[in-house]
Amino acid sequence: MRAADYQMFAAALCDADAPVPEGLASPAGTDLADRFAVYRNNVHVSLVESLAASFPITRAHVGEEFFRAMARVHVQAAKPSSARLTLHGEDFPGFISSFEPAASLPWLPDLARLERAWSQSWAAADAPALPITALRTRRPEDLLQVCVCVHPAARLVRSAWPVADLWEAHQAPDANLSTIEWTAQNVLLCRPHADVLLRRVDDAAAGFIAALIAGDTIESAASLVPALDAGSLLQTLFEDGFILEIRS
Amino acid sequence: MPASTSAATPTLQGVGVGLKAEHYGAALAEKRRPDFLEVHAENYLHAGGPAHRHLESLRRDHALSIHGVGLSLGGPSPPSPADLAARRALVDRYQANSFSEHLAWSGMPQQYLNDLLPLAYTAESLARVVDHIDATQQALGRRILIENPATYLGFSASTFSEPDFITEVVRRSGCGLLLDVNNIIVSAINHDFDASGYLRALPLAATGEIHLSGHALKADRAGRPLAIDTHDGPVQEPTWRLFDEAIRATGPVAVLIEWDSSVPAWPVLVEQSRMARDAMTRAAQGERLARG
Repeated sequence: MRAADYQMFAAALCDADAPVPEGLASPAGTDLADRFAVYRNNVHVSLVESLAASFPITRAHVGEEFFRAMARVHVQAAKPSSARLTLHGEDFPGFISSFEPAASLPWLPDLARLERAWSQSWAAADAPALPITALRTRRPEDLLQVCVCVHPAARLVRSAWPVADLWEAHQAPDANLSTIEWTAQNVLLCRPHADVLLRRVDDAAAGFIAALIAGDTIESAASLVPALDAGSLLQTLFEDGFILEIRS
Repeated sequence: MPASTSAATPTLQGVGVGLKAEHYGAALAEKRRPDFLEVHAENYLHAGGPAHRHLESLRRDHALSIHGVGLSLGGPSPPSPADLAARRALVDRYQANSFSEHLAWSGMPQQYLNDLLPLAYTAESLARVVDHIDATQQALGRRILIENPATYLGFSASTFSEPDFITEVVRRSGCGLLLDVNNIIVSAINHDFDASGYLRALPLAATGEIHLSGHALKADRAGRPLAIDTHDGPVQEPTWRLFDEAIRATGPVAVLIEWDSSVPAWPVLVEQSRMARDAMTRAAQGERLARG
């Protein structure tokens, strides 16, 4: 089997209209095209299935049929680069934003981005978060000058849509969306103990957290958001296991 | 050149169950433990978090087999050093009792197609597969098992039968055989060959594990039977019958109940395990009777 044979086989799997490649065989009287179609079907169905497993909330929101049709278009155009399917769908939220039939749900890309961030948080390395007691040895004025290393499982998702409310509503089957207020929501994901924790943060807090993630000192991050009670937010961030270590 | 087996971990034995995330709780609570658990390597290649925490808890009380589905050892290019290092790290992290992969390919570099694709059985393919298995055994520092495939079509360029090709792979690489009995039944239906004859032509002495699973039976547009390797139901009667034959030929080896989609409640898997264990007991008794 030569490199060109692999290429031909793979290309024909990816293109539903391609003829069955040369050189394949099945017993006399059987339908070779049907047999090749088993592989073609396996590729697309299994990759759609993998997106369905990675984006259960997006799927619940749009319904099974719409989700699978949308995922199939994406899978047709973009195959994963590796076998690590637990993190399949990196470019799925971006795809959704350009998927015309989903245009009437402008929050859908953000909901998918939240799920993607959730998967990353779920899969991130284990590491003990820094306890707030680690600050005791430092003078408050010195503390303003430190930067923080963020825990590997921490993710911030900023959205103009109520993605946290949607995410929570769809945790149960037959979600009731009638009480959702269609306002902007930012979400901080952390994994303080075993599981991923989802916390809503307002715009000011999100700005502060984003600055910390970008490596700003606490003072500089706090200066971005004068209205913010940085002290109590920091305490919350410690409790959520957001901080891995502090650097002077 | 054959790689040495890992000295520290005992080999797999008894009847095991394929572990899915749905079963973490039930498997932990179960008093009658399976003899081992098997997981797909690709479900644990990420760094940390809940899935690893569950598997770590289960590993304390269970032997563990790690079964790769995406290394593409039959592929056009060797597994990348990064892919091999990730498997090595996983095998080391869990002190796995066994690592297995497939005689198949899964796509092109940077294009993963998530299926076990068939190979032309030529001298060229043979050399390539053996190279890739060698590289894997070197990277993992242990002998691995290679599973016979379920296929839906063949290649007119093939110059080896599948059992002969597998025999050569085992002989040249020193790898072991993961004997998938359901795959034989599926391929026997699709290629219209005798399952027993195929079984007897395999290098059965190298068997390190047996897989048992279910398949779907359909027909192609020409009305001819087409079996699909679905792993979504109980082990079927023809598979049990061939298993009886297989286990008599291999002697006691590790046996896995493999159920990957439409995953049932844990007790259903326990019941399938019991059926496998009964068949193994019958085979052992038959041996004793035969020896008189």
